[in-house]
Amino acid sequence: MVNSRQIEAFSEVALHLHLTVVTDAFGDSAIPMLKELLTYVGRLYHRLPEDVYRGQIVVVKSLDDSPVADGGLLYGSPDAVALPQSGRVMFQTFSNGAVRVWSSLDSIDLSKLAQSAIVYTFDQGKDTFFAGSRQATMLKLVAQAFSSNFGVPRFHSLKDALEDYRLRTARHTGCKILEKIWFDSNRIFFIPKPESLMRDSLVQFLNNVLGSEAQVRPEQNVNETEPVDIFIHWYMSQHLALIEVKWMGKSHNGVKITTEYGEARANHGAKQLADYLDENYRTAPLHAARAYLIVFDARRANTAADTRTISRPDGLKFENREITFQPAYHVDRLDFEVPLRFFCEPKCDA
Amino acid sequence: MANVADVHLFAYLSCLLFVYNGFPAGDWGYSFAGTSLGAPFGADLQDCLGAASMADLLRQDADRFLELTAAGTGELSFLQGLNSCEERIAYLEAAAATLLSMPTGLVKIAIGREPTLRPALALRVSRKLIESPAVELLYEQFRSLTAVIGSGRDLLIPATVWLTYLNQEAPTPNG
Repeated sequence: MVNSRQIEAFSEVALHLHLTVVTDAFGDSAIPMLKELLTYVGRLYHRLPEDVYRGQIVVVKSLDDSPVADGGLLYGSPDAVALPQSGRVMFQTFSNGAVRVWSSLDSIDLSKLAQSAIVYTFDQGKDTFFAGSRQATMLKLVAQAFSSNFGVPRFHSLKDALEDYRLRTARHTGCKILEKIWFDSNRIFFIPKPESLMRDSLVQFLNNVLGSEAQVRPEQNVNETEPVDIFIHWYMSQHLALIEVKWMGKSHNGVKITTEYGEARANHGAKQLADYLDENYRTAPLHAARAYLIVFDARRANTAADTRTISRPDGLKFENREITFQPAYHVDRLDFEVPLRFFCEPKCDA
Repeated sequence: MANVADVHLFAYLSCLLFVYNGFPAGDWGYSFAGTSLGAPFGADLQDCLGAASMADLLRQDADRFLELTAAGTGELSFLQGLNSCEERIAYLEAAAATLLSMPTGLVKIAIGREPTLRPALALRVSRKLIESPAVELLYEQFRSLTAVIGSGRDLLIPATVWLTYLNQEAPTPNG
C-alpha cells in the first residue's frame, strides 16, 4: 500500500528538484553532467559569496562539452578565474576542468542554451534550473533568505554564526519559519508564544552552518524544571553551548494584546542561563559549557491593540536601545557570552 | 572532509538506499543503532575506524577531520576490488553525492527524522535501526517514493527527493 499524502509531498518535492528537471529533459544519463555542474557551483561559491552578490550568476554544462556561445574568456582551471563583484555573469564548466566566462550576456538566450545544456541561475536568493523545455526554481532548504542551497556554510564559530543570523535573518525576517512569528504583516506585534518558532528557526540555521562539526538540539534538559532552548555539543569534544531564547515587545491574539515583555524578561533569561550553567557543572563537571542569551526585540513605541501601521520614529525607537543587565553575568563570569539582542525591524509607513 | 560522525551518517544513508532497492538490511554487512542524540552509529564500523587508525591507514587532522594516509589509499583501492565490498560502492557513492545538493547539516536533520531513527531521539534512548516496528513506516515511505519517481532510477534521485522531503517534515519535540 502507498500513502497518498506522502505521494503528494514527494511529487511536490520532485517538481522543484534540479535532478528531476534535468532527467525529465535529458534522461538519467545526464546526471554525471549535473554532478559536474554542481561540483563547480560548490567550488565557485567557496570564492564568490553568492548571498551578497549583486546580479545574476549563470552556470552552464553542455551535454556534449562544446562551447555554448561565442566569445568569453577561457581559463585552464576554475581557481584561475577572475571573479566579478556584480552584474550578470555566465560560467561554462568543461569536463577537463577548464572554465569559460562571459561577463556580457545581452545576446545570450538561456532557454535556447537549455536545449542542449543544463543551465543553472542564482538570482535574488533563488536557485533555478533550465533543461530542455523544463524549468524549476528549487525549494529553499537553507534558513538564510539570500543564500543559495548550494552555498557554503562560512562559520567556524558559534558567535560568528549568531551575528550573521542577527544581521541577515532576524533583522528583516529572512526565513520562512520566522515569518510565522508575526501577528501582522507590518511586523508590529508577535503572535502569542512565538518562542518555539524563534527557536526552530535558529536550530535550523545553526544545524545548517555547524552541522558537520556539532550536534544542535532544541529543548534539552539541564535541570528538572525547564529545558534550555538550544543545546550544542561539538563532536569528539567536551565543548557545550547552552542558548536561551527570549523576546521583548508585545504579542497579539487578534482580539487584544496578550503579553508585553521588556528588559525584565531579558534579565530573567540571563538568570535562567546562569542557573543552567551552575547545574551543568554539577551534573557534567568535565564539560566546558558556554552560555548565550538571544533576545528577539520587537519593541515599538505608541502601539495599542488596534495599531496596524507604524511610523518610522515609533517603529525604530528601540533599534539602538541596548538592555541593561543586572546582574551582568557576561561581565562577572567567563563562561557567559555578551547577550545578543536581535532587533526585528517593522515595515514602517513611507 | 568528514569526521567520524559523518562516516556513520553516510554509511547509514547508504544502507537505507540498499533497503530502498529491495534488499534486506541484514545483507548490508553491518548493523546500526540510533543514539539518544538522534544519530546513527555502527559498532562494527567504529571498530574498523579504530583499527584503521591503529594501522596508520587513517588519521585525524587538527580539526578532527579524517584523512586517508598513502597506505590507506592503497588499502582502499584493494578493498574496492573485492566482491564482498563491490556491491556497496554504488550506494556509498549515491549517499555521498547528496552533498552536492545540500550541506551535511541538512542530511543529518533529515536522517534524524527517518522513521526508525526518529523514536531514538524522541524517547532519548538508543535502539537498533531498521528493525523496530517503525520499519513498516520506512517501507511505506519507500513505496510512495518509488510510485512518484519510478523504479530503476539513478539512486541519487530517490536519495535527494527523500532527504528533501524529510527536511520539510515537522520536527519531533526534541528535534
